Amino acid sequence: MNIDAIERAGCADATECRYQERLARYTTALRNGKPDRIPIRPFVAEFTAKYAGMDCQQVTQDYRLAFDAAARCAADFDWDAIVPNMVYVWGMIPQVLGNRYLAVPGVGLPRDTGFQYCEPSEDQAWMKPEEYDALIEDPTGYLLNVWMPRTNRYLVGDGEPNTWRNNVAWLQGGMALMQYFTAFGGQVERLRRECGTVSAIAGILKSPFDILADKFRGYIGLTMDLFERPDKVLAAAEALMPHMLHIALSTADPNKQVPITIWMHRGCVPFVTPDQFERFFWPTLKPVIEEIWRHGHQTLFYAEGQWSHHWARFRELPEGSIIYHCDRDDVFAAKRALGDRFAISGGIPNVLLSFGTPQEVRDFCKRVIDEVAIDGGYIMDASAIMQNDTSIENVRAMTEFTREYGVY
Amino acid sequence: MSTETNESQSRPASRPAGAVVPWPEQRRDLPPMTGDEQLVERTWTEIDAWTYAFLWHCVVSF
Repeated sequence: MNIDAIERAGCADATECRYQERLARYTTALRNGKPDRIPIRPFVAEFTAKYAGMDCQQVTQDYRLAFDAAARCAADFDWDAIVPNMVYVWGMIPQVLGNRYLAVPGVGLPRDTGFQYCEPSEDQAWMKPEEYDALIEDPTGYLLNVWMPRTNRYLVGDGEPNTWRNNVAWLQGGMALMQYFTAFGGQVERLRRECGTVSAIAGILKSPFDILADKFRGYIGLTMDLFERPDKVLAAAEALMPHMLHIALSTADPNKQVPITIWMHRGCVPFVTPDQFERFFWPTLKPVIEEIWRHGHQTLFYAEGQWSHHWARFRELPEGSIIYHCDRDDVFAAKRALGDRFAISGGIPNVLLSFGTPQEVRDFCKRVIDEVAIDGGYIMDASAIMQNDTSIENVRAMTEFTREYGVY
Repeated sequence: MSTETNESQSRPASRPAGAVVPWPEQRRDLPPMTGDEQLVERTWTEIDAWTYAFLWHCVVSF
């Protein structure tokens, strides 16, 4: 871009001009509109380490290295938006607390394996079935007094003798989280200033049902509870709703440009029955999404797995209130079922990006561009977050082909 | 926090989303206000929000 064009656009420099172009392109597509060309917003996680010559331990153990790796990718690839750090678990936080469920690369895991969540057996669940009432009555108090000490070995629970290590762990945990979260502002600004790249998302949401399954009762425990104590499950999910909403809104984009993301896990058929989805999952999530929309924010449905059984329910949401990200769903069917109401993203199979040829990647991208992105409302991305098994050559093929062919 | 035993601090039905020690409870624990109470309330609420964020992000984000 020459000096005249920069001045006409009212930008400080060419990088800022590029940022403004990309922001307009990305946000137009998010709102199901047709921009000048298809925006590219890959959810690159441990891929960034591979590309930057690092390993999983480096980007997990030191978030500054993760920021560097993300910025390096943003500078080298012509992407419109990326997540400032998709390797979102900074290993120091579980380490200072003595966390029992997160395994970190290089500390118990091979140093080039991504971090892992270790779900306990049903009888070792982080919340006992008889503790539903305590969670329902005071969720934050339950976290503080019971759940945190149980999931972190340095913290002591109710009535236990206090320890020096307990005091230090609370202090270090709080300091670490503040340090990490505060650093994100600088990373967002760095991506804008150095590369003209948009920060793709802001704000995190989980469904109350998924939180119960993932972090409290475990998947097997919760599915048993659905039969043995269904009223308690529903009351607990309802008690979690205001907290999920608060966390989502308190971390959202103040400019209301990029979406809050909900990471959807095991609330769909066949993890639950259709009736259980209708009774437990959807009634405790839908009002949260609607309230987020009333606050002026979109929600990106990172629909991990296959959610096509529930597309009719998703259509109940206000038009434009969500972006539907395809993981294992058929992206072409998703466009036909949801595309008149919501933008679609993703759908390029990770298997193809890891083990296919560049020509196979280009062929699939062409089909997606022709059939899904045809009228706008599509954001190019892989199906799921890209880890270090993803081929750099194939990501380059996806990027370059979309740039060349994905022009409206 | 107790130095001998770690005792539960249960505050049922009075702890809204976003707060761990809500301002009304903290207010009762302070000496008589001789200055700008709103200033104290605002700064208390801000730091309490970080505490809330720490607890809930341990569940939601990590």
